[in-house]
Amino acid sequence: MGASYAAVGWNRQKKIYDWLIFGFCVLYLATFIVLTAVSNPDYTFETVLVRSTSTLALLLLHIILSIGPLARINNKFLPLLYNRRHLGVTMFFVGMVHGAFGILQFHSLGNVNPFVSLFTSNTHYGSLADFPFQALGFFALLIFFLMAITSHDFWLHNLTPKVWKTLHMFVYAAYFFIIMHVMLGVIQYETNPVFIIILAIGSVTLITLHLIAGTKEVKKDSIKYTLEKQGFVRVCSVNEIEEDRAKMFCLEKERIAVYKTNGKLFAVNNVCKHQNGPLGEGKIIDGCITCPWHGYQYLPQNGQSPPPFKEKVSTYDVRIEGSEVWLNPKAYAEGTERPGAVIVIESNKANVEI
Amino acid sequence: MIKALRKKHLQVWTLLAILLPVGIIAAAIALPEQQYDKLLQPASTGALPVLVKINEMAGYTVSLRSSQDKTSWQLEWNNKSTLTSPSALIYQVDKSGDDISNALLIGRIDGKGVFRFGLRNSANDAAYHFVLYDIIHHRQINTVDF
Repeated sequence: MGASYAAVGWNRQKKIYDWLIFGFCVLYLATFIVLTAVSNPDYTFETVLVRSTSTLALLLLHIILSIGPLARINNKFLPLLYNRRHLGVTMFFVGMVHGAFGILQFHSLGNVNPFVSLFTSNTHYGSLADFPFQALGFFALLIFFLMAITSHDFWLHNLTPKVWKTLHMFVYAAYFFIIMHVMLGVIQYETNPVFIIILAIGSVTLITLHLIAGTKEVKKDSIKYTLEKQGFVRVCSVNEIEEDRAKMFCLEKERIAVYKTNGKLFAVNNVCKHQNGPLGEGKIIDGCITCPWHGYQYLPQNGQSPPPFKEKVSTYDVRIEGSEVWLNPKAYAEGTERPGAVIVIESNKANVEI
Repeated sequence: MIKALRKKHLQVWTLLAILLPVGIIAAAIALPEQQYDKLLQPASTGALPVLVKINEMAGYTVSLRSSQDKTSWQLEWNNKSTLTSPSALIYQVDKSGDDISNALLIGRIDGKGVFRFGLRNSANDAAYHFVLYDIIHHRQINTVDF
């Protein structure tokens, strides 16, 4: 957590994650090289390197872009989300090897600076078949580079989350550039329809996953709570909330997580201060609300991180009438102590007081 | 993820749901009927009318062309299959068997397709000698003599 900036805080989970990425990449490259040596023994090693790294980078990009929506659709994919940036940085390095060898192979043999040659050797921007596809790859790699160098939390804090996230949203533009780089590049002469089909399947899969996840989330945000009394809105019944877990409700601007713990209900802002993770999808560990993404913690009664950490989230009033939970969407200042709502079980009825 | 970001993601992917299929289909439609590879081909020139000589080799056909009045000469290189060396250079040497140290660089070929290069006039129709050279591995791939 954010007591001070530190280099990558290696822990067991990160190490396992990184070793798995490394092993996968080595296995993929070795398999590709061996299969190419068997099926196309005349290809030079440089060509094999260019192609193996390009396909690996493309595969990694599809995996990276599918993790987010998969984690939204099914919590079982959350562990993949935790260190997704490690995958992203790896993908950038693999892509950089591809780009470097591509420039070396196709642009470094003349009098012109290779980077100038990249943009001047082909200027058929008006043609699809002859489109300067390498420029598309260059700009995509540039975006990945900017994302890789700002992937550390240091940049998240210093650029502010809004700027940082805007920069990292450019991954979608980069994805489009890469697909067109492939379609207008290698596919124009390796015209086997299998390659087009594989690429199309990848794109359709990502589009489908994102639209499903996005639609699901927007639906959650669209639920209207109509019962209102003295500023409180009726959101659910007490029994719908599991012990040490939360239920989330979107009232006005943002979601609110209502946690049940130690016989009480507490309500905090759903957005984690670290990277805007969904606090309501976490659980209570050692008395603290724990974000499911990176483990940041907050005390349920005041939304403050336990010392020495300084993060705080807003708190809200919650009360129970009968067995119904009522929530006041008016937020208190971050870190404000609120007493919560006591759950009293009395002859199958629950009462409350605030 | 905050609400505004969720909305932005949905908007972005709705846009990509349109752009990606359009891009893929457009690129697929643009696939050339003749399979060719013109990665770094300079603007292609038309073939000169007179086919002076033709040399059939494994994987490529090399032709010498000229204008009607023999004032312009052209080397036409037709790669029928992808080269094993991805970037090969064509040098013109003075006589058969010469290396490229004092050779004239004619041009570069990348893959399948037809490549045409202008040549200086020759006093003798049969005076052309070419070396196909792999610049990355520094080795001679082949020689072509007319």
